[in-house]
Amino acid sequence: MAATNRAWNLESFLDSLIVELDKARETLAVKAINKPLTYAVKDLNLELQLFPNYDGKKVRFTTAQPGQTGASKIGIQLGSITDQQIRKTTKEPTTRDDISIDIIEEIDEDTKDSLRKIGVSSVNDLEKVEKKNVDLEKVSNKKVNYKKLSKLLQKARRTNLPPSIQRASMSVSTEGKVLELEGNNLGIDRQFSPVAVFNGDLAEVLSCDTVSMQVRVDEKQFKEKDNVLVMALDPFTVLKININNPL
Amino acid sequence: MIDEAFLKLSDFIQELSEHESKVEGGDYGFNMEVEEIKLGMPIQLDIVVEEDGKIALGGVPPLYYVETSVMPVFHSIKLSLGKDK
Repeated sequence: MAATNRAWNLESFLDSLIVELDKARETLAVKAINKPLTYAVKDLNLELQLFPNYDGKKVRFTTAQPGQTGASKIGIQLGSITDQQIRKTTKEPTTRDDISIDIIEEIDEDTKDSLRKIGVSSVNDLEKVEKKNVDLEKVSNKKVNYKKLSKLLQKARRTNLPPSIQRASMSVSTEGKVLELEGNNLGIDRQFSPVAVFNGDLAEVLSCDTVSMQVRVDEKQFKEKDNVLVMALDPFTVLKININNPL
Repeated sequence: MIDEAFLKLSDFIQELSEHESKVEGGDYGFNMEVEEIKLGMPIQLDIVVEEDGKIALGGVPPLYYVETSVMPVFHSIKLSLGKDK
């Protein structure tokens, strides 16, 4: 027996059990190449003698040791399921443009636990819940405040999608000079109107989307070099660029 | 690391899953195949929580059954094996 008998949680136990089953199945599959008729594990049932313990947040189990009596009996049954059933019952993994709540340091563990309990594990999950007008404060017993959380998530999403400028050009029309910027992840918050300041004066943002931005600038403000354009793209992003020769 | 007296659970399951599937009648001229095998037994388990939080699982069937003052803990395992088609 192991020298220490540390408590474990069911999720980690099941993960390990499934990995062990997979390993056994893979070995049997290799053997089946030379030995055509073999057996596969269709289902597995384990009955464990355990001591459950609830610490106020999570249930953990301690395996009964020799000589210990009064253990609870817990049964785990694993049955084989088809890939179609997996697709139907499994949530899609977090995608590249989504952010798992686990990696957002500003969200405390209690809030993360409360979110997980209501099935929210990523920013997209949270947005889906919000779209359905679910009162998060009620379902999480006032542990989750959506507005506060939403800001943290937007900030995290922004960190994941930093803005970049690839090209800057100037066009001249009857309305004046328009600075045209091309890049990536520029205006990603549609609810926010970007603000631009050119050489210290407010400049009008004519349009802004994720890949381009147009800013009307005052001709008198232009200098030969060291023109500075500062843009607030959303509440978490300020972008400063130096333009030496716009024309 | 699991105790060396235990088999890795994957090895244990694999050992339990290897069977001769053909039943031959020899001189009587019949051949049969076993479609399904169900087995169950008590098992001693070694459940070790590693430093990284992962769990290592070891298992071994009871080697003998003798009343001792401190009895080992017997969990139970049941497996259904079907023909791998």
